[in-house]
Amino acid sequence: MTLSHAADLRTIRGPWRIAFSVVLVAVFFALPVLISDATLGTLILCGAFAIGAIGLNLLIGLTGQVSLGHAAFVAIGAYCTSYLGDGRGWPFLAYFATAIVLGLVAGAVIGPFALRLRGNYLVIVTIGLVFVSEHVLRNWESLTRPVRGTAPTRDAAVAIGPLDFGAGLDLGSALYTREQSMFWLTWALVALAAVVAHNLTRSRVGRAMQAVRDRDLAAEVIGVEPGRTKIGAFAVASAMAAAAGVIYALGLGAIDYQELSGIHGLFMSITFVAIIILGGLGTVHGSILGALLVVYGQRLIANEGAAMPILGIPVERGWMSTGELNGVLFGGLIIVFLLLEPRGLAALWARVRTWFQGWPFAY
Amino acid sequence: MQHLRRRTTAGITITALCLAALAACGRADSGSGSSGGQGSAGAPAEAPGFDGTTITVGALTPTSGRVAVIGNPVTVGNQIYFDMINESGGIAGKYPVEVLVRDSKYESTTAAQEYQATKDEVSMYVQLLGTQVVSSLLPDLAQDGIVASPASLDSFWVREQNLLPWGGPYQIQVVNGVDWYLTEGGGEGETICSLTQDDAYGATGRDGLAFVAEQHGIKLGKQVQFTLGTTDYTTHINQLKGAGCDAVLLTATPADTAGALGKAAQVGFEPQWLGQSPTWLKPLFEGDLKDYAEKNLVILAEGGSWDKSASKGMGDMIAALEKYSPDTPADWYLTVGWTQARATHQVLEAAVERGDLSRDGLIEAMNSLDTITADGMFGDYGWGAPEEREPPRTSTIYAVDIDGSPMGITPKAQDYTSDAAAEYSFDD
Repeated sequence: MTLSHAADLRTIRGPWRIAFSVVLVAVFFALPVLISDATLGTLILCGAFAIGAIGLNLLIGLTGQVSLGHAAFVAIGAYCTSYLGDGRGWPFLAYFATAIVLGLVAGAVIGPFALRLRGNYLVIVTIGLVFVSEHVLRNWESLTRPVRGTAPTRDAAVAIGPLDFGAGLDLGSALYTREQSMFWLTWALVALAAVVAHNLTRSRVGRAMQAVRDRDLAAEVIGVEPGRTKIGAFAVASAMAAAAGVIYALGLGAIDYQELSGIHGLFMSITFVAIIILGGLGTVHGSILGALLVVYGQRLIANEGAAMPILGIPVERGWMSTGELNGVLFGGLIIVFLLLEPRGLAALWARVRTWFQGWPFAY
Repeated sequence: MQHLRRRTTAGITITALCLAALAACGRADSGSGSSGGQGSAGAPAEAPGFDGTTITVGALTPTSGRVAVIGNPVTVGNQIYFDMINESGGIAGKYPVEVLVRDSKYESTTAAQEYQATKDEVSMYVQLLGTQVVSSLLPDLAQDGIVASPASLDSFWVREQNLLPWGGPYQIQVVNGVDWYLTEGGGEGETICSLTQDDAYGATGRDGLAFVAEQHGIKLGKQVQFTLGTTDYTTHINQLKGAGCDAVLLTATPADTAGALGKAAQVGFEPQWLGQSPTWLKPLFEGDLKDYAEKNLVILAEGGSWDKSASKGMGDMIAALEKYSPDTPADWYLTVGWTQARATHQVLEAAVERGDLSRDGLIEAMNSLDTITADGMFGDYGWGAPEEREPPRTSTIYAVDIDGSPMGITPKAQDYTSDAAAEYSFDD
């Protein structure tokens, strides 16, 4: 419980949270030394999805504007990486910033649709985005298919000053792999996105978003401009999706327009929504937990699935492949969470936290 | 404010301590994985995918989604081949082979993730399915020094250092197929069009068609493209019908083939369909489409009949299928998986003989081979360094024969080699 305004303003409150933050920092630095590059590659993708989900949570969880077009903005970041980073040799900060600005502008252009639409109608319009982007990307061949049908991102520079994350960090006597280095960069960006989102949620803007979500007419009466708030939310969410697209593209090494738009793009957008539902709508840490659960969980099943007996029949040779198993499990998981814990992993986490905060007393 | 400053100082101190600790414990980039692998006295040392007793090979293939109908039989073909080899002790009679299968969903991004997750666990890949998938993974294979056999027949693979292709390229299939149609198939003077997938696989069909048209000095008709997973082919078929196409080259996968031919049958469009090998899947044509397919479709592929006496390779494969996977129905894609595994076996055998199963050792062993053979099931592949490789230039034109052949297709013109195919260059 906070007893003063100053305490309320603190980002990290209380000894337990400070201790937990210290553990998180230690894990951040230690993890790449302890686990394999293959696992780090998955965690880099988790980070990309976490950044995108944090943005989408601002839009859906905080402002109540449902969007299934998130993949279209991820594509902006991904193609900035390929076209500007890999193709034109731009430095990392230049194409990363360009991606964010383009995402911001695209979101601000889409945002006004949300002024006139709500609920199912808004969902339909945002679904249209992934199909419009499919048409654009399919026909823009110089952008999307420069090398034998794919757009490479492998050679995009990922250096900030003397720190070259793309080639692998060289810290004096220690040399790190690309995966180790990219893990640090990615999760530092996740932390940055989380801080930005957290600060937004507790500011006047964040309260305005929640007021628009809960009852936009009432929000207008108390002086909140719903239009500006909705457009702002779209713009910020889109910028974060574009940033996620940069990391996503760097993590994969090559991108394919068919998987960022059309039906596959819609599936990616649904994955983002699943992440924030499972993680916890309206929470920043829920987006991160959801990304870890959905992306890393699927990898875990893919890794272990081949040896996993399903009713005595190994997958891949039996009646279900790991891809299908993943679909069934995560579909089921969403249903279970919506029925039993609609506030997602964040709510489960809050219970654990409360237990520690109240220890040794149980409230 | 003081609190804030103190917290910031503490944060910086923790971070600095962590960084200092990290500086002492980095790990070098695993790079090409070329270290290790060479054993003394001929016994290969442990290497990625080889623990001293068992060799693990990878297969990144769609086991779910629209193209699983191809991925699954190809993988069974891989597996039954190694089951047969393992029964006699394994590679060189000593090292059994395990196949690590991962679902790529026929998506290059999923395949990239699966590749990263498995590359350190495998000696090489016995199967990477999909032209687009192989294309997007090529730089990674080159960087990591890993050998992979593509379940894709793009002519672009012929000169690739890290690839182990195994049959006549798609471009050759198309060149021979169209040549056959123009000369022996009654298509002289007819308008030839195309319906091709909108990706790197589709490009192989368009490349081959453009080449054979130039060789024959003919002008092509309407060229239509579609996106994988298209659900309604009305527009595409109407465009082809409206353009007066007499024959249509089809570069697709089975589900799209059935969709396109189903629509063509509906609107009464009956050209001669020339389907590249991945268009075929027997179960899709056993129902309402049977008569239409038998009348209008030929498949451009390689190989012969489903007959134990057709070749040693075919005999071995049918026997292995009956023994190790008797519930699997006859399927042309089994021959693909079998041939890939046969090629992989030859590389592993050479590497074991040289006592080196490292990544570099496998590439050197592969380059030391003179021929990659499929024991007569497909044509022999002239091997050596990438610039010396010479794929088979023969194709088989199959007629659809649902009841007459276990595969549903039967050779109409076997081992057909056109003059145009002989002219095709793999160096461009």
